[in-house]
Amino acid sequence: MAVIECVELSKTYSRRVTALNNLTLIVDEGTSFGLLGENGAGKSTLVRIIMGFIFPSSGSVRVFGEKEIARAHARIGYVHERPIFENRFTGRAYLTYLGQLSGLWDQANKTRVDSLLEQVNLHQAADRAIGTYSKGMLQRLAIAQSLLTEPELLILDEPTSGLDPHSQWEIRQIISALRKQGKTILICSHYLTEIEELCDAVGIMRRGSLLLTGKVTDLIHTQNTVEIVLAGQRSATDVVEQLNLAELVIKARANQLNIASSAQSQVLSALVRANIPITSLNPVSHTLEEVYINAVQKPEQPAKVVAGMREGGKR
Amino acid sequence: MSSATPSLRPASLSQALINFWRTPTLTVARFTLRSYIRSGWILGDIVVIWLLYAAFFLEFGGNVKYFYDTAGQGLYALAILSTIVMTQRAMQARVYLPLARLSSRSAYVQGIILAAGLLRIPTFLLMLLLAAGYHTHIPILGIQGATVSNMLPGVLGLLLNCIVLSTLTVVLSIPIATRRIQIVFLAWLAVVLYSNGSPALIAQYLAVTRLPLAPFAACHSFGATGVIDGYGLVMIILEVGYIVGLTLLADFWLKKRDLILL
Repeated sequence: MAVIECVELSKTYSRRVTALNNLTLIVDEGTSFGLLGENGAGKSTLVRIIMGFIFPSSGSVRVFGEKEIARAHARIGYVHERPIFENRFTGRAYLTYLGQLSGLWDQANKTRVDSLLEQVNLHQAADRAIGTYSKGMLQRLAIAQSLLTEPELLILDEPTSGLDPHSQWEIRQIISALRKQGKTILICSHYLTEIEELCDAVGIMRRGSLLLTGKVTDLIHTQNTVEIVLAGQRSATDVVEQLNLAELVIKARANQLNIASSAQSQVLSALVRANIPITSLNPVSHTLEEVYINAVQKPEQPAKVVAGMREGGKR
Repeated sequence: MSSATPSLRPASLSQALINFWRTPTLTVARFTLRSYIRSGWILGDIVVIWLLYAAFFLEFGGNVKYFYDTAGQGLYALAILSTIVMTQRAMQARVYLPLARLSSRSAYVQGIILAAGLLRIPTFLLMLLLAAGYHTHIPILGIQGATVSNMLPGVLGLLLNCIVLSTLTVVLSIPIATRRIQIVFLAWLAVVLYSNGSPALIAQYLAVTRLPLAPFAACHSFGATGVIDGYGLVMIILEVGYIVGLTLLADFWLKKRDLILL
């Protein structure tokens, strides 16, 4: 079941700034989906549209099947990119207020707030004014408030942005635990390793468009390049020259040849004909960083869907 | 069964009151007021009241008409100023977290309007206490000729006017209103002032633009006359209508707005 359905979404701000351009994104129940993109790519605009804070210029968005998204708010936990709280209130008082807005009162509110403060390791600072909290503590408070109603969908906009490594690790542990509980999670982040660690699927955005979307495992194992290791100490450069394979080989180094997977059979045939043995042939794995850089450096084109995903990111 | 009914009534009434107390609108209103108080802005209100008192009542008390005319204008200005502060504080990026918990934006904007309106009551009471009570030991000071019966109509009129002004201030705040709406409102205000102050013929025609202010003027005059007649009652109803109408307008506008707040 699709939890988030954005279909041909466009958003143009008043000064003709196009923030989203015909974007289609579908996030299924139980998926942890990461949105990557440089500053101004449109990630936050997309998140605000999904939360119902701003409205698309065209296209449609549904969350839990609701077109009027505020009706689905009780099922969504949201962390804003810059969590701003009422600094003169204590963490406990602010969570209590937000809990009351969600219909949690009396003992139910107290129990839930206490348990969340414990969960995000803020119980010892719960009765301190929020203004005295560090950035990491604020972020943990933001995560705690997003979990007040035990939401099925979590939308986290830059959850670890600007945090020290230990605080980032703490936040990642919390998100990882939520992922294991089967929550649907949408994370916007600049941190590729974080997305690689926390997400099943990822979408790469640039200038309001989705350039690439797919399962993380598929993206980093995209089999468009294979590596052939020649047997013995035979020089790959010599083989390329000898067999006239320069046009088919991407890179020749020591006894390794990197070729496009489409040229695999041609190169193998040439090696067999020339009686050149090989030790191994493997698809080349990319890091998510390489996938990201490749995607954003290419000329703009419609979103590419990697195997294992339906159009727009649905598995 | 018949014996059970009476005992159920208080329980259901108290439950109804609890449910009312827990509505998102009242929850937002209470929090907005607490936030305003904790932020220290409430001290600004108290200081303004003191300044008004010091400027207009410290040396001479005046009668009931003087009190309502003078204190009224000060309290109107204060209603606008403190509501601007309250609304701006409530409409920053911090709005996203409460809004993400609500099933509509209505409760939020209604809560702010309610908080801004409720704040008018203690500020007025403080003004009244200072003006009427502080110098009762000196017969010529305090509010001369003040009785409960001739003060009450003025209280009602002045509070209604203050609440209309605070509601209007919320409605005209960004992002509820747009710049265009604010400019249209200011243009109307300029026309009203021109038509009121100019002897030119066109100003007489433009007097029609002052019609919406009739309830406001009537409520303001209750303090001077100490009487609410039939016309006054109609104006009170219209004034309440303004408050309800402006609240609905704020709700309608906010529903359509993109909330891009810093």
